[in-house]
Amino acid sequence: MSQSKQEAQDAHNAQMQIIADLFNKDTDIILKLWMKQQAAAGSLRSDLISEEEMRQMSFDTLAGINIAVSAGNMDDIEAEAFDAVKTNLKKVSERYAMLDFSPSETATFIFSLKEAVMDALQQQYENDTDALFSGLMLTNKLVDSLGLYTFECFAEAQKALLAEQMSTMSAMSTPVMQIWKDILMIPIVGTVDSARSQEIMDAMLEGLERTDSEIILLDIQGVASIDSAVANHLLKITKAVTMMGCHCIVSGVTSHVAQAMANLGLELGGVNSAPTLRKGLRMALASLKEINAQNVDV
Amino acid sequence: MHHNGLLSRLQGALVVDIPASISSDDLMELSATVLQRLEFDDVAGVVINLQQLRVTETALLQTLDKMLSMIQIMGVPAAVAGMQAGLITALVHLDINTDRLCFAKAVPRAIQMLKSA
Repeated sequence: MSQSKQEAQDAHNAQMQIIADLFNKDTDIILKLWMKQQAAAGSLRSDLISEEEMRQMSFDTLAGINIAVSAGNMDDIEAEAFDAVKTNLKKVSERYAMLDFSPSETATFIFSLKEAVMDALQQQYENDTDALFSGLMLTNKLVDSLGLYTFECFAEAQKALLAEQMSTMSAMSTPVMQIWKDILMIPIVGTVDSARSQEIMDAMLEGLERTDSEIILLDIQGVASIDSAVANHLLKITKAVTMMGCHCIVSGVTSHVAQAMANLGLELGGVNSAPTLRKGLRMALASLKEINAQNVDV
Repeated sequence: MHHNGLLSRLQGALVVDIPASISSDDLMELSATVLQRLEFDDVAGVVINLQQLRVTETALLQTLDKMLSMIQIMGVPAAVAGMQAGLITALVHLDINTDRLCFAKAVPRAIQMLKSA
């Protein structure tokens, strides 16, 4: 190694030592300053999270950084020494995403550490401008890297939460209920597009298979509007039920819906329909009686 | 492929049990055997039992559709029994015309439907 390179390496090591000492000896001071910075930035959301929990998360993050810095690493957060702090930051991001913190509030959590460390450095190296400058540079770089990592984790956590919510909403939007022995009911609310109709069909077929029911009532009273596309989707759904050897009754076909369909020249050809759920259920019970009588003959 | 075990006569109807895993070519052979039987046997109808079928390949489903059409062209009523949810979804996507077919959960009910049709 050339002399100049050696000198640069020595200087870097000396700067690292300054930060390592600071994190090692002044953890309490940094934690106090960090909490203060978070409060000043308005990211201590007492309506969402307790101060105690925030303090613990901040303390764990500092402990993780301390491990990495003590191992002589401040440059490469991909290194093994950063595993502890990264695990903790991932936990923080997931918790923030779950508690509905905003992206900027999440970013503030880690970026406010920068100012806390700077304050601590200033207190300690007030008269050593070289040490102060070196410490600030290293801290900036480290916190920026950790900030990016935190934000990535937060985005991923939000994406996972959104997927979970979508799946819950999807399950809630197609609830198959057993309302009578051998009779299922599925109320449809909102719009029916091809993706939704696939979900409805899957839910209905799965429900019929699982419960071994004979009849399913498809209540469309809550469907926002019926056009040719929606009518086609409904026909496909009822066709699928018929293919399973079961019966489908479409209830909630109100006068308003009938008029709209007639005006559009649409028909629910071959599908048993009823204007209300009550009438649909009565129709289902009559059909069930007939099916049971036929099954006795078989 | 031997088709003897797959064809049976029940209450005057010819019941065709489609195995869990069958290729499109084998199904084509099977349908030829079924059509030959229909030429010489006097049956009330044909029940295609799909209870075991798990394959949902397009080619197979199209062969199945063709088989049902050929049976109906011969003037013999056909019914399909025991379709599973996955198979139904695949058939609906293929938009196969099922208007002239009867569907039942199980073979006895399918036979009854054929007789009362």
